[in-house]
Amino acid sequence: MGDRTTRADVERSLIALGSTLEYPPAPPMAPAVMARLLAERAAARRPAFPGLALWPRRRVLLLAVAGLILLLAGTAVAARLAIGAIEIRVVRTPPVSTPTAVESGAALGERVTLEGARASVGFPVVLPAALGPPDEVHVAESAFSSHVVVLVWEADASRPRIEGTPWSMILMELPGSEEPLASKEILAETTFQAVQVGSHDAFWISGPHQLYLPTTEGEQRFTVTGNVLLWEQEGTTLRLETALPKAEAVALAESIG
Amino acid sequence: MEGRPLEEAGLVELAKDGDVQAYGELVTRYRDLAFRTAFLITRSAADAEDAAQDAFVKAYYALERFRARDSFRPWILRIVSNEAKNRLRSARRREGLALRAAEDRRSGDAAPSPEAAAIEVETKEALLRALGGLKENDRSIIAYRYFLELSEAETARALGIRPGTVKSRLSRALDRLRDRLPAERDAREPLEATDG
Repeated sequence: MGDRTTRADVERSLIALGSTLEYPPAPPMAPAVMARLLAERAAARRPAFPGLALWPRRRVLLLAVAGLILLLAGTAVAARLAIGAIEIRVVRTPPVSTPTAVESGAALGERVTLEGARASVGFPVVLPAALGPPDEVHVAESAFSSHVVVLVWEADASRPRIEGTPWSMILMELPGSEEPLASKEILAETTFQAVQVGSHDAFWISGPHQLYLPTTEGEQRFTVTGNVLLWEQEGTTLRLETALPKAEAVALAESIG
Repeated sequence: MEGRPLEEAGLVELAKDGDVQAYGELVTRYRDLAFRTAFLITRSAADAEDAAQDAFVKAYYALERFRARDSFRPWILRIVSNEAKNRLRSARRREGLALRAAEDRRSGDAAPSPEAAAIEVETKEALLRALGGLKENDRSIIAYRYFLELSEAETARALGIRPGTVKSRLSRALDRLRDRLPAERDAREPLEATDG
């Protein structure tokens, strides 16, 4: 060492270096962290959700729902988390493909009566007291032989239509599960908030996002255009999609008993 | 030194009471610093992201041990750096410091800062190489002080050492860094102008 470079030189060089260092852009972290905390809190209150606390790179299992079909895409999966049987992934980039509208009920599974659904699905089908009976009831079968119930209500003067669908409300009910039965991808920019439905922790997701469905032909991806409230009560995972704003959606959700 | 906004203490208190939203606000405030800290240690963006995110989750559960009179910044950085080091140990990545200096993009549109102008590309590269060869502890203390610009007190808390030992540890780290700089290339030259 000796006389070649003084300590002060090195310090000055380090400060200069520090001012020119390039870091990769920091990813948004709050949505993923918040959702993990809420999911872990929910998991602590019921039979363990395996691997939830250490989810990175975990295998994802998927299932069904509503909205618009989107053809595959390669997205960078940045974060994953779950509430009930629905796993949520926060991604950096939106899928590149163009969605194709699905306006028929076919995408929701087999159409049945409410009584038929209640008799066949093996878990209690609940309804929001604030809404009348659903206009259609569908049952879809997941890859694990569990059922998903999809209830839809048509739009009217007080309840606007969800863009790209004929409906004002889509309520999905999934049974409690040890594995995620469906998954969602949200962008970092998507509004993603922790809210409460009664005493239940819930997520409010506003803005287009992706929902996945495994079918016998492979994975299908749906673009969701409505606002979504996601929570779990009495072992059932509930997903309410609507064009209504948060406060009204929460009020509706709280009328479910 | 502690120019942090008043609400921070309030956010911490809310988070301690289980307010995940308030905690999310803290995460947003510190994510850049946390990510950079983790990146300086892991040298991989993916590992840094995982480490920072895991650290924020762990820190939430450790909040009860956080004392209100302390600064949140070094406290969270300590958790982040531990998490990043664990990841480094398991990954055993040795690709050399993946940091790049923003030198060659200089295309005349933006004038470099005086600090940036005072260092040559070769000096930077030599420094980065030398840093890459240091032990983790030495690299951390140098990065905290010169890259993340933590105060001595913050550095002490972030490293979990006594404030009185920051100077001597830093001094030894700088000596070891100097030992690793090439003898033939004198780093003093480009800095002469600012000497004095």
